[in-house]
Amino acid sequence: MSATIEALTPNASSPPPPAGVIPTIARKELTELLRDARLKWAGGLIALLMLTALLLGWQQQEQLDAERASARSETYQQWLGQGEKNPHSAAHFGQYAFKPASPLSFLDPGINPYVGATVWMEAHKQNEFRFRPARDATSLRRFGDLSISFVWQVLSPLLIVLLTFNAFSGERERGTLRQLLSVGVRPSQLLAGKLLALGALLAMLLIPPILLGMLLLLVIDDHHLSAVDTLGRSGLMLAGYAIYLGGFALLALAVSALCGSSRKALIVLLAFWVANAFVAPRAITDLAARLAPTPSALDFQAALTKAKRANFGHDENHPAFIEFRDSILKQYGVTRIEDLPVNFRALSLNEDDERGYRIYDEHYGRLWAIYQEQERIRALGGVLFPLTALQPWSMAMAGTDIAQQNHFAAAAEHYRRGIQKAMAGDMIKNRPNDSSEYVAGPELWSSIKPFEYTPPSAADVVPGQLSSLLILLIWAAAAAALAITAVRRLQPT
Amino acid sequence: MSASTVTAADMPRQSLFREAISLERRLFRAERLVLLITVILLAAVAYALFNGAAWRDRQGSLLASAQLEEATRLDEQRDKLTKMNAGSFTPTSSFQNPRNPLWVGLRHAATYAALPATPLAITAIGQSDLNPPYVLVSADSRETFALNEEIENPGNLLAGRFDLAFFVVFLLPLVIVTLSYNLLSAEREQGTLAMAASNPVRLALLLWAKLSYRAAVVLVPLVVFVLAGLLLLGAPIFEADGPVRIGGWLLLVTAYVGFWFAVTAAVTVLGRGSAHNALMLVSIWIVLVLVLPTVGSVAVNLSFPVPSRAEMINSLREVKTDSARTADAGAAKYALEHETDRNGGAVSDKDFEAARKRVLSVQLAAEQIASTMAVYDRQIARQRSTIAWLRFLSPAVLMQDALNTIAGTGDERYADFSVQVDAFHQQWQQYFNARVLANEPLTLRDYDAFPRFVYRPGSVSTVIGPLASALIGLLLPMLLLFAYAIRRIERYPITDRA
Repeated sequence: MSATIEALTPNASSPPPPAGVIPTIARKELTELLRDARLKWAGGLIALLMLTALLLGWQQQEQLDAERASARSETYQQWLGQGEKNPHSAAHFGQYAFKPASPLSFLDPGINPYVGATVWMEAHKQNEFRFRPARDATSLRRFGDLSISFVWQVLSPLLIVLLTFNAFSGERERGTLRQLLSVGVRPSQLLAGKLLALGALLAMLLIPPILLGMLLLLVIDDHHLSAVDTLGRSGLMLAGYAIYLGGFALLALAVSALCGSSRKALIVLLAFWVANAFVAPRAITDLAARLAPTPSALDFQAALTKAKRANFGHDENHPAFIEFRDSILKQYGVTRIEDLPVNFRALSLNEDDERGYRIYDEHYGRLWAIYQEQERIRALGGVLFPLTALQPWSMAMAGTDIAQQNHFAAAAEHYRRGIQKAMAGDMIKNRPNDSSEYVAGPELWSSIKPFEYTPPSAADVVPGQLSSLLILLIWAAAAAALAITAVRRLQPT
Repeated sequence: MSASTVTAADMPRQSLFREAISLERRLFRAERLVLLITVILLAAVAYALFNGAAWRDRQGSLLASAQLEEATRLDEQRDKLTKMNAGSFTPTSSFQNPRNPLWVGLRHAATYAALPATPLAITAIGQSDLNPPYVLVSADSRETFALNEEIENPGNLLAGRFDLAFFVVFLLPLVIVTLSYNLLSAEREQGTLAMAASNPVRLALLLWAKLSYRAAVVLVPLVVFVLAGLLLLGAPIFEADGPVRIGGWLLLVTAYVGFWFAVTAAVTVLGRGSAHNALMLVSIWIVLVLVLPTVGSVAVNLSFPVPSRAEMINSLREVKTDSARTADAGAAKYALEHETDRNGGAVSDKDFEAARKRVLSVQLAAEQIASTMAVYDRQIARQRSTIAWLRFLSPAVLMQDALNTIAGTGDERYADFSVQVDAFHQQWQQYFNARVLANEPLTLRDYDAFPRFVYRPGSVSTVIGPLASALIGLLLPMLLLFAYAIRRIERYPITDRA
């Protein structure tokens, strides 16, 4: 500290203080921080964890993506190789959809461990995704995943707290605050200088892994997303983390200025850190689940089954079936099914499917709306505890949030309906109305192109998450306001 | 203590200890610390147990509605069969035929194998949000039902729940750290330690008194609130093995609290300042509760990677296609589902042929499906047995694991449930397949004699075994840390070094 005072004293004899006050403070603070043994240990550990998380995450993502790619081509080969059969039977055989790994999921795996990446696209049914990876792991996994997002969301704020809790209170306890103020340093300059130093330090710690991450991104061979889009997404993701960590730095400085002692500041900050990282996400999740409860699989299926009773399915005595049959006979001006120029059974299958789509859209739409409501409640908690607003933003940019999972689910469903339509269409045209067998072959199967998924672009994703970013900004602004108020009231004793 | 003429040196150790404790009590009262801690504990325990109870009730109603669904479905079938016997109902297809053992075994009578909650289920949600409490068993092949999941927003699963186990494992150590990071250092910093040390009282005794008092401040309200909460929320702690579980829970929590106080004692005797102690304790917490578990999880994953389920899906499909071709059942299934059979209710020759092919195809595939799926189960089991050792590195993992075991929401219990379900599945298949292959129509009496799943709870040793090893894993480091603290405290600086 004496270095700062010496550096400032010659100029400080006559107010106003020199223009170089802030950089001088920042330089001195940075030197002091770098000498701090706390930083060597904590920073070293964090750097090591980040490196491990990056390389492991990247390697696992590459492996996962390769597995899914080969599974995709295999399921399509099985579709092509199913032999000659009735097209509706082929529709029953169906295909599987495997969600490609998003290129940025190695930074933030998000919901990936807790959601299936696979769905069976079969006739008559819009299925649920299956095989949550977390179920193939042990309870150890519930402690969290080692990922860059874990380090940045949970550990980095703690590092900030540990480095900053005595920023002002420590100066006061050592008596250097009085000296500083007496030479004419304005508290706001002190705040800016300390903030700058902290920023520089975090940059030193965080920029190398960011560069490494970028490098790994270049190596990822992904044709699903353009490089520009990936770059845009990572930039936006980093912006969210910058706001989050900046807000934490401001809050820590504010608390350090407000608290009478370093000890108190440390306790207040640690309590906030624990609440933000561990308590709030769980407590708000419980609250969201209570306000917008998820239906059970059983209830969901029962509701679907009930709604589908209005459809005739394969039941030829169903009133809806009879009504439909009569309308078709009337449309073609015939009285007997045998006289129809098109295959009636296929026509009725197609009709039943069309009616089913409306039911599925309604029910899945309602389910996804519940998820969205839960996410909205969670993000709102970010006004107090920023992690619950940062998390959705980070996951959205990484392509690992529920909205993008459902985007994939919708695309798979669209593809499934395409198969149904094509199979029924072929039968409507080609299958005779008598009871003779009708089979199609590989030409028909290959008329269905392989399922290619195009993830939404950053521009599509950002609008849905602007509210999270806004909440994060509000929180950070509140932290800034608190910091400014706190240093204005700064008392040397 | 009663006679003021007795000097401190004459006092037995016990009353010195009591004196120190009562001093602590006065200090805590002055800072209203007991009240603060009690309020925090009450709020956390109430919220956690309330959440746990809501979860248990949800799981319970899930099971109830599953059983209701099954009963309704069976009644419908019985009703149809009665009418069919009376001649007032004629099935339009073999699928609709309540006498047909094929579709009754595959769909209409499919039965829920349920895993009942344990008396202490509300204390740890554990893995129960990933593993549904029931499996719908049918005569179909295992992969069609064994891995079914409950619908849930993955965001909720990611966040986890605020249950009692979470509070105990994650937050309780922080409460302990906050209470005791300045155990002796504060008094030294205030200069009162030298005064205290001028009395004929050993520092070790002083430290011991301070620790005991703080442990009581944490443990007594915690235990009281938890027991009261369990009773109020209707946890059947006196039923079945409830007393064993509640006893185990109390022992575990006491040992865990003891461990963390031992950590604070060991850090305290190093003789550094309060702020330094706080930082060190928080760092230890981070390493034990966050870093070691996540790194351990990665290590276990890398050592015994569970292969991709994407691969399993495709290879199972290959297996099933092959066996279906062999049994030529593909066409049969289609015919069964789509061709109506108006020749009356009996299983016709054509349907029998198709049914036979379908059963043969399921039987042909069963072995390969089992061996393909076993690869996954084996890797997960290897991960589990590795963690059984690794958990000794982190008391947090040890504790979470043990609390899950006590609540009956741990990995082991779900694995055991899955084994029991597999055995029952085979029994179910045998029952129905024998009748399909003999083309034997089901009667009303058969309906009452369908196999039923009854969960066989593990013996008390399945709880006591892991509990004992967890206790050892907590108590051993605790004793070592205390032993270190007692040795090292002789060198404790009673005044601040200039």
